[in-house]
Amino acid sequence: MAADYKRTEIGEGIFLTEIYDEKFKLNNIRVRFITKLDEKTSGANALVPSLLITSNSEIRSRTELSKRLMGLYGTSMSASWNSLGDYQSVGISASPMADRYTIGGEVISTEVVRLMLLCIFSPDLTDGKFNEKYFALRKQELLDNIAASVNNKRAYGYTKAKSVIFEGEPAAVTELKTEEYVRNITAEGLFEQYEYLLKSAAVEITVCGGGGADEAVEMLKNAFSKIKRENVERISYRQNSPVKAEISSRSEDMKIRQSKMFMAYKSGYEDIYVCKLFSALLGGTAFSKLFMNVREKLSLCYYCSSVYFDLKGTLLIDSGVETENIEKAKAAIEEQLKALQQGDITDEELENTKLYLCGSYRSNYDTAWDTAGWYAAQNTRGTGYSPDEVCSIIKGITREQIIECAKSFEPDSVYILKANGEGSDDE
Amino acid sequence: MMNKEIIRDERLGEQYSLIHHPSGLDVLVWKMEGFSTTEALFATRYGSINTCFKTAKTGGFITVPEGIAHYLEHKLFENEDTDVFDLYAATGASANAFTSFDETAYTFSTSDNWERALEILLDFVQKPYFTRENVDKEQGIIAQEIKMVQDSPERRCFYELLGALYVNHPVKIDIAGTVESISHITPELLYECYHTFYDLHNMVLAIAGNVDEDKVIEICDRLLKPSEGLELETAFPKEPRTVNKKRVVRTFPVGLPLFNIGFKCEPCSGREYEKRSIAGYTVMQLLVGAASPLHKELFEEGLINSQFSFEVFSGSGSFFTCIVSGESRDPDEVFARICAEIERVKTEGFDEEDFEMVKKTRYGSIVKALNNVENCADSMVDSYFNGTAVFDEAQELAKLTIEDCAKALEELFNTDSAAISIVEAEKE
Repeated sequence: MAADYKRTEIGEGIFLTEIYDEKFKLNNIRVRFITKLDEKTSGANALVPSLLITSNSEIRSRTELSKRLMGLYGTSMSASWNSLGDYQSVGISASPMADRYTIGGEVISTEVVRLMLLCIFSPDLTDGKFNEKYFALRKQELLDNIAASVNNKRAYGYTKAKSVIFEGEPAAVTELKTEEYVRNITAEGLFEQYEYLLKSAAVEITVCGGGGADEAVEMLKNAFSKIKRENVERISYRQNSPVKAEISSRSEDMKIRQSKMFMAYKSGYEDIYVCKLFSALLGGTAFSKLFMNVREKLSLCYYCSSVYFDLKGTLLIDSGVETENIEKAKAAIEEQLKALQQGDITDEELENTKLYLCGSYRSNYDTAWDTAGWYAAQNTRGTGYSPDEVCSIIKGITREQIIECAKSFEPDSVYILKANGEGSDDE
Repeated sequence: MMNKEIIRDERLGEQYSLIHHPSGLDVLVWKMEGFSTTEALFATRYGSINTCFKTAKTGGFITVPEGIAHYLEHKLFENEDTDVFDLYAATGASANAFTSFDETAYTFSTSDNWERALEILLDFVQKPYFTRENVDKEQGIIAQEIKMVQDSPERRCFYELLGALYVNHPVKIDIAGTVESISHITPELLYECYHTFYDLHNMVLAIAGNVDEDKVIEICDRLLKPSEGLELETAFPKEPRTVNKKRVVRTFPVGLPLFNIGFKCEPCSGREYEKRSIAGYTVMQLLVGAASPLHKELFEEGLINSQFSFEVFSGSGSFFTCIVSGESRDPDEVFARICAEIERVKTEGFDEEDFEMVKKTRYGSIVKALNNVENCADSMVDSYFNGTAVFDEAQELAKLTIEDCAKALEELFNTDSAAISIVEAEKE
């Protein structure tokens, strides 16, 4: 397809991925630090980028920095933190409009990258400590975000389910477990963690978009190739989660109207694309077994879908169900999984699911953000397949492989956020 | 007789076609070079607020249950002989639909077989099949959807704001209706609404991305069933300028309290609507945006965080509100400060440099938004239903002056027509 992909190591454990497609009118620039998930440090790691984008040694006011970026055709700089199996990825990104679309022909890409680099390498420090006012505000904001995890009930349920499914593994570390550690972060401690990220975390830099920003890319290369690196973390993304000897079942009551149920199955099946196709057949489309049977025919759930996490070898079935229907829904879900294990797959189902998956993979070609995300996922697998290349792999998967894969999954855990009330009350 | 217009913007270097198809349907086609996906919407000017209407056939006005537009959207996916998702499955397309306050749209997105997916779309939307049995069966699924939505504090906060702002207007009712209201829906009522609002003169087809205009027309020629037009008229209860309540509070399991602050304004349509939307949004960027003095103050005092945002919430010719939302330990204080800032700026005016910066920001967002297939298809429908074109936004932005913003501040941000909705955790 159209995208032009290149990946180079520009420093020890520092990679630059460049993906260009001239149809894009912007360039998405991301810098990510990857480190092992640990409840003691994950809060501090999340706090670092949110503080870095607030001010820097040259622009010490958040408002001034916002103004500068807005003047660059509304480029915003954002902080991110998320988990990748047993690892945590934290970083900064910006998506400036491509220089060729500015009204007066001005070059904005170099200025955006200059500001990003200032934020990363030249933070707003006084006596070796981060700006005290912003440190306190961002720390409080992180604590508020942790407290607000409860707002989105499905996401909250998922977070709680993860700690049951991956109990004892780094992947079980969720924001809910880090609150105490976040409270105890000091400005000095945070600076040490910032230095650790620069020195020892794996670094992934991505520039994805319409290109024409060679000078800006050179600035990124120069800045990152000069970092002094020590004890650089060696990342091995795929760490299959072991199946529990006994199925772990937990539930928590909450005053909501609809229960959220999460059922996890695990397998060490090697070929992740067979697992992905199996998961799509089970519950990844609007014509999948779970959707057509558990939701449409039996009306047991409003949503009922499955997703496969290749980095942990885990299949998660996520459903929204009335409390009185929990057991019925569970039985109906198990029945659909059993059907796949027994080879109840028509040729039509298989071909249609392949077609659907390939379509959704190819749609990643159409935004710079999605393209960057696609190749970031490829990097975690040690591959650089394009969406078309993965489609060829998917098309070659046989019915027998699906059955073999389905049979390899074993039940591991069930977590239910149980509705026991009527939701909100009037004043 | 087929008429075609080219809608073009020289500065943005973009264009699309508006084709008046003899069936009565207007068809919008935007070919985007280099893109893999095709995004289509077959939409009707019919949403949750259209519960009272008349046509040449109905005689007088009739009133239908709340939530019926959304219910109809669900039921249309069931044909007499087959399930629509099964048909789409053979194309690789991802199909969906949505109902908003003033629009219902059936969509697909695909990287393969867009012609076949378009045939399915045009065919099933023109072929309703409602029976007592299949209508009753849907009650369970929609009731579960209503309950799931009620578990979202953000959505509750938003609807509580609409209930505080609007006294009579149906925009204050949840799009899906209530478990009680949908229990009154019958196949006969669904057919009545279908034949009224799914007339091709009240609809539009928009298709963007990897597409061929001649093929789109050929498929339309084959599948569209010509319609006459029904002299459709919708009615809304009279809405006073004043708000229903100034403040509403709900308790819910949440972290920090959530708030929605709304400024109720007079509705408008067409180019005026475009102009006012741009001015309203620009005023909010200047008043409370990330580079504004008030934002700095609120952030540095810990009264707002990164969840803070603002939007123009509006339906052409029907409702118009400027909304500021976020999380805060003290939402009432945030509301008071915003009102005080409005009064200050009304006296002292906006900063010229900030105004130019905000205009540049908006231009950058427009350029980026027009680089997205889904967004281009959606924008064609939205602007069509408003009687404007996608590029009018950029053109109105270029013409916008600081005086326009001062005028918009006076007209749209009347603190007497404002209300606040708060969702907070139960006090222990």
